[in-house]
Amino acid sequence: MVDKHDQPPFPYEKSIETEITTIISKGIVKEDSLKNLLSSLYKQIGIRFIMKDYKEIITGVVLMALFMYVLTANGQTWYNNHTNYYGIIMLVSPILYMFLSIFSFIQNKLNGTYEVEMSCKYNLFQMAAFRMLVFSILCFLLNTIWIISLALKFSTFQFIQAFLISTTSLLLFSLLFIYVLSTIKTLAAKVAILFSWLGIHLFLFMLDSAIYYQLLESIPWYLYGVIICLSAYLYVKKIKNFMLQNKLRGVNGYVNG
Amino acid sequence: MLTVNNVSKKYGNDSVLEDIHLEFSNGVYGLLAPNGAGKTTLIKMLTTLLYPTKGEILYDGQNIFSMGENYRKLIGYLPQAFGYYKNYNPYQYLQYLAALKGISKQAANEKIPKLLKHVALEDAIKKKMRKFSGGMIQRVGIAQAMLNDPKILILDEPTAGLDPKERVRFRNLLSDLARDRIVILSTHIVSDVESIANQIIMIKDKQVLFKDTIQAICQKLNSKVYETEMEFEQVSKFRERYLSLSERQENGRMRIRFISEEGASSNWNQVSPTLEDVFLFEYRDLTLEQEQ
Repeated sequence: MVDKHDQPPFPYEKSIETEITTIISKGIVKEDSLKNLLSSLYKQIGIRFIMKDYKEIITGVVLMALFMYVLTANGQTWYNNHTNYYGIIMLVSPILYMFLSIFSFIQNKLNGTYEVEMSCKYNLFQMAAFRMLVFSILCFLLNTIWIISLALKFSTFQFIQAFLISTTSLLLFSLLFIYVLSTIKTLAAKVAILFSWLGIHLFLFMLDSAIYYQLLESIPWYLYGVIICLSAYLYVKKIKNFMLQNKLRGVNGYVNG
Repeated sequence: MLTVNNVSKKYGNDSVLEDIHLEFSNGVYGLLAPNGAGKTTLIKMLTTLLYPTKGEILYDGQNIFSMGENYRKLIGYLPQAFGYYKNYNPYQYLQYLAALKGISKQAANEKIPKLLKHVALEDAIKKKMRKFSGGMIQRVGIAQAMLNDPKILILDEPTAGLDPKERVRFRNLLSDLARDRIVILSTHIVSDVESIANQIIMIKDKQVLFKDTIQAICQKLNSKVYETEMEFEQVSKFRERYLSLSERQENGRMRIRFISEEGASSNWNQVSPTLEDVFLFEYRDLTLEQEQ
């Protein structure tokens, strides 16, 4: 029989509380910041593999830069005084982003590597989120350089208005892209929705270029500013959720086969 | 311990698996069933590629979907159709997958040559994978599944494309690996699992039919498997009455291995049932449907 005096003393209230706090803090999974998520992904996988299709990325950037150069160089001879630069900017700004972001998914589908990559610790979607963030910054810089060159060439061109239109277009599209990626299941449907964005703008541009120009010009700068701030906030928030969801929960929107 | 707890899976209104209950501890498990029985669906749920419609899958008491990357880093998986980047050589591809698996560059560089040697690809380390044969690709797949020294190794039809010599090497490799991990091997080829599996899991009618040792499963056909010889012209009539398991010509007569549930005739020799006999017996209706 155990002697009453041999039993350890019952802990004090304070030490019970300390123990409980320690257990809870060790048990709860801390939500990482976006910076930590990105930095751990970068450190672990490395830029060599995150951007493993760097040759295609460079080719895409060069081709888009060339296209922008052609548009800028030939703009004057092509168009009359009512040239709808703003419509072109709205249409062209997210194109490179779209191709770069969707490329890895298409490549993955064609090579049949999806299942292997999705069953790894860091999966395809976590890498896609990282890439998308990089691509939006890259496209923002390229678009800005293009707009500066347009502003230098055409005296009637309003740099601020064009810059706001381009950034709005890129951010709205980026936001649409990440929502489509997290909600739509098949690659074909994803591609169709994203192309329809371009299709709508192309349709508006071709339907009545002048009205489309007036519409884009009539939106005040502060409204563009609000849209940019709001979509940038939602985009970064969604990127973080997207990374966390794939880190913790596994496959996102996977369809058999 | 990996536990599949009353798991069901539906695609839309089509039910593929119903109330599956399984427990896995260290050893080789052969998941044996004909094509279309739901093996790959079960495997995809075990690798978190598919969510169960009902039920849960636990690893050491934790839901594998809640564990997320903490579970994924424990598994090694070879899918039925193993994809690869054609411009990569096996070394580059394994380096890439090692990074995704959370293995440091240094550890990967030490491990990859050993693994490629293990699967007899040491001479093709720097060769582009687009030049590889089906068997070589499959061996890269086996190597990548073992990169992270997984606690759970899941292989879906791993011997597809391997020649007999490679199959033997692969079986020996698995037996060696299974000492301290769970190995789940899905196949419809009985000989793939017959010599190495500690337990066989058979799926029929969307449910687990057997989960037992080979000896215990073979007991189900005890005193029901026979062999006999007969003239060729008698064979078709005999087939109508008994389930023929195998037939071969011998000394100008036909030697038939078959199942009889009615009792023995004097010129029949009772033989010990094999796993293949059980497989053919249990899935006889399915085989007939496929033939029709």
